[in-house]
Amino acid sequence: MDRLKEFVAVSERLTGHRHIELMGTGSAEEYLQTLRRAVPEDLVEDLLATAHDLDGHEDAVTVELLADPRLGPVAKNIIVLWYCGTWHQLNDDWRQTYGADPVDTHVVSANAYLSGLQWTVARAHAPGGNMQGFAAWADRPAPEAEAEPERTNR
Amino acid sequence: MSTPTHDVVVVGAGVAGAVMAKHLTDAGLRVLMLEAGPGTPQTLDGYEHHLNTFYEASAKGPESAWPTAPQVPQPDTADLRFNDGYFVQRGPQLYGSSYSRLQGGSTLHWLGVSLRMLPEDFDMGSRFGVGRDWPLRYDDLEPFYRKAELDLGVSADVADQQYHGITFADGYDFPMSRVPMSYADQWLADAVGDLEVPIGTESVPIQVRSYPAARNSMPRPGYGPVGALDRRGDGQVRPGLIGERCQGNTSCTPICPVQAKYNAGRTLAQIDPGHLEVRAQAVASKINVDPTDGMVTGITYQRYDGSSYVEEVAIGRRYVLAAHAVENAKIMLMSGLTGPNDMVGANLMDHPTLYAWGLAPEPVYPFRGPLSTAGVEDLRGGPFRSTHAAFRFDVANDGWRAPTGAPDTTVTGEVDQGHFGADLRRRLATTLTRQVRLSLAVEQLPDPANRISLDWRFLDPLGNPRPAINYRIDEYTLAGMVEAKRVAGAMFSRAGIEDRSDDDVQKWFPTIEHQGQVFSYHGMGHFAGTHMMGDDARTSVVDHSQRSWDHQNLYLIGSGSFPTMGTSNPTLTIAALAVRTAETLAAELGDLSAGRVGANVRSTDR
Ligand SMILES: Cc1cc2nc3c(=O)[nH]c(=O)nc-3n(C[C@H](O)[C@H](O)[C@H](O)COP(=O)(O)OP(=O)(O)OC[C@H]3O[C@@H](n4cnc5c(N)ncnc54)[C@H](O)[C@@H]3O)c2cc1C
Ligand code: SF4
Repeated sequence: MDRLKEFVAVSERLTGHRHIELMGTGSAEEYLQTLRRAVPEDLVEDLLATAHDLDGHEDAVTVELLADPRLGPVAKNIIVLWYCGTWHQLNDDWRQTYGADPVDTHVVSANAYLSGLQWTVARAHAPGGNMQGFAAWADRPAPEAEAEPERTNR
Repeated sequence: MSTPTHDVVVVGAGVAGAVMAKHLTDAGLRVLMLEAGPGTPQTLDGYEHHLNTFYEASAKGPESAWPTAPQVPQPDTADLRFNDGYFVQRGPQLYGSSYSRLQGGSTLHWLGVSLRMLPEDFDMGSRFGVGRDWPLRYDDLEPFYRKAELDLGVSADVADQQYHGITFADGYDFPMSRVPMSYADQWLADAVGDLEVPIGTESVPIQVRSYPAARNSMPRPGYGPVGALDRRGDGQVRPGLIGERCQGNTSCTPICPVQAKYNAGRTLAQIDPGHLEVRAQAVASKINVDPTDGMVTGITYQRYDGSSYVEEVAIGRRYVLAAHAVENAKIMLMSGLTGPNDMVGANLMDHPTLYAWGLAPEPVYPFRGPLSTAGVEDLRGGPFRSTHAAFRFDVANDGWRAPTGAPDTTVTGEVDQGHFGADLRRRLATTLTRQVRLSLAVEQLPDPANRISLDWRFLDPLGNPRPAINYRIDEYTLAGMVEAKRVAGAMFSRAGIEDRSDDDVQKWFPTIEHQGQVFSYHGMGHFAGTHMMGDDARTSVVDHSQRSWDHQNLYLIGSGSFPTMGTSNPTLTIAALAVRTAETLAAELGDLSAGRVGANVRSTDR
């Protein structure tokens, strides 16, 4: 499995979105790059390695991942990346302990901002982009599909 | 004496200046416009560059799409966190509003709410015994409201707007039909039902109502909506082929991607370049006055490029300050022109505004459509105004974004609590779709102690002093805040909305305490009162035409001229007054050219 596939597999569990939904944002590669810039390589390796433990007991593995003092804050940041398109600076203590660069809070890119999952979950769109058209706001949108992540070929 | 190069010198290329310039040039006059900030691109590509600036900004405040030049600092909403911005805030309360200093001015990021003032707003003094009367009545301004609605391109239906005595000329309707109300507005209107609230001695029915907006909707016959305009190097203007209809981008503030929302650049682009010269990066810094008769002889401005600047003098037959309420006062004070009883800079007002927000019992689907499409106007007027302030509500279409930073903070909040995966997705789908918010904008009265002055200890890069602000929110407004909160609470409980208004999350907002209640308030960008008009030269700075009493060839235009501000957002009234002043000026200069000169006017014709 290549790194991107591993990253998306972990992201599926973290975000509750399917492979196809995540790839549809067009932001997967940028997010992986952002991650690699912000945290040490070995940490990225360890985090992506959890992709291989997922089958069958996703939730348990993810709960463990999020609770991990070293990987947990990064995993949470990955969720926020997908939903908001924003990388949040990891706090000072964590960075000192695990030797990460102080990458500031920033919007990853214009595309990342526009493709945040928070907008689709809200049945809305990012302000300033992907507009719905005149008077669409007067109608009730189709409700969000109940989305259990389905298994994909990895 | 130097010869005028233009008929009229206008300082400031915001909406007041642009509307003024349009009507003057339409009358055949030649106008020179001095604009402090960088020239905003008039090409479509140039405008779209600002859109990207906004997308990539991590703090998406009102100013985020519009960075200006370091030479012309401007207030920023975020300054309030540490009180370290452009304004030198002297308290006791913080003044919460901002504006922008670049070509196009603050309408580049305004919301577009275009309400007329109520007839009773024009005589607060004689009717309610508070504030003071305007030297104009609603009926004097009505024809100019119509012209301003045409200039700005306002969408509304007269049928919705006849309340509290507002009247319209026979057969008139707005240029475009009303912007459709959002699903959330319709839901709220239903859910509030026939709610009536007691106020003063009355019981007032509450209605969620569409408000007039300077955003393009469906045109009425005979009107062609103006969207994005593309003026390229050859000076030709082409329609940008977008923006003739609002598309629901939900970012009216800070930037409408397609210019379906009015901005002053649209008016500027429509002016014949043969009659208008816009000189950007030209900061007006001094009004030169002939001490013998008070006439203005020229306006000194600083033309900068990088870190250096040169001083030049603009000379016209008439002068118009249209640089915004604060900057108009600043330029006057920098020139030593203080008006009667130091009235220049005094009586600064705003609409201090509270947020109320909550969770609806079912999805209402916010984060779509213009940032708001409806309001509550029922408490803008009434006999209670003799004891406390009036107020109006905006019904937001963007959830809790303004007070809490939603949806981003909704996401981070859930993630911090350990939610992830399908559970997180479900929780967000439930919460984000049910966010309801109201803005409660409260009237403020003129108070001479609330004022702009200069602080020469703090200079900008061109050596100009920063404006200092003394500002106090008085009992009249505070009592209005109490009532506004109560009415919002009554709407929430009738509609089954769970109140989540939590002063803790807006910690950096200024706060004020009143009878044990703490209010977090913010500004609406509605500055007013710094050079108020009146019919007595001893108690006002300008007359009903916005002409300076002391300097008869000088006009100060904009919301600085308002003696009181009622509850309406000021810009439509600013534009209506600008049209009225432009017509006065054009008639006067026309008469001069035709030799029909009255003795009192001749002396001003330099
Ligand atoms: C976030 C926000 C939302 C708003 N929403 C609404 C709304 O919905 N409805 C409404 O009615 N109003 C709204 N307003 C208020 C509205 O923006 C102002 O009322 C309006 O823009 C004022 O117009 P103006 O032309 O007087 O000033 P501005 O628009 O501020 O223009 C002044 C111009 O003068 C220039 N200038 C300044 N100093 C100098 C100088 N020394 N020399 C030369 N030029 C100078 C500036 O660069 C600028 O171009 C909002 C304001 C804000 C901040
Ligand atoms: S909703 Fe969108 S298209 Fe309409 S005015 Fe606002 S930003 Fe412009």
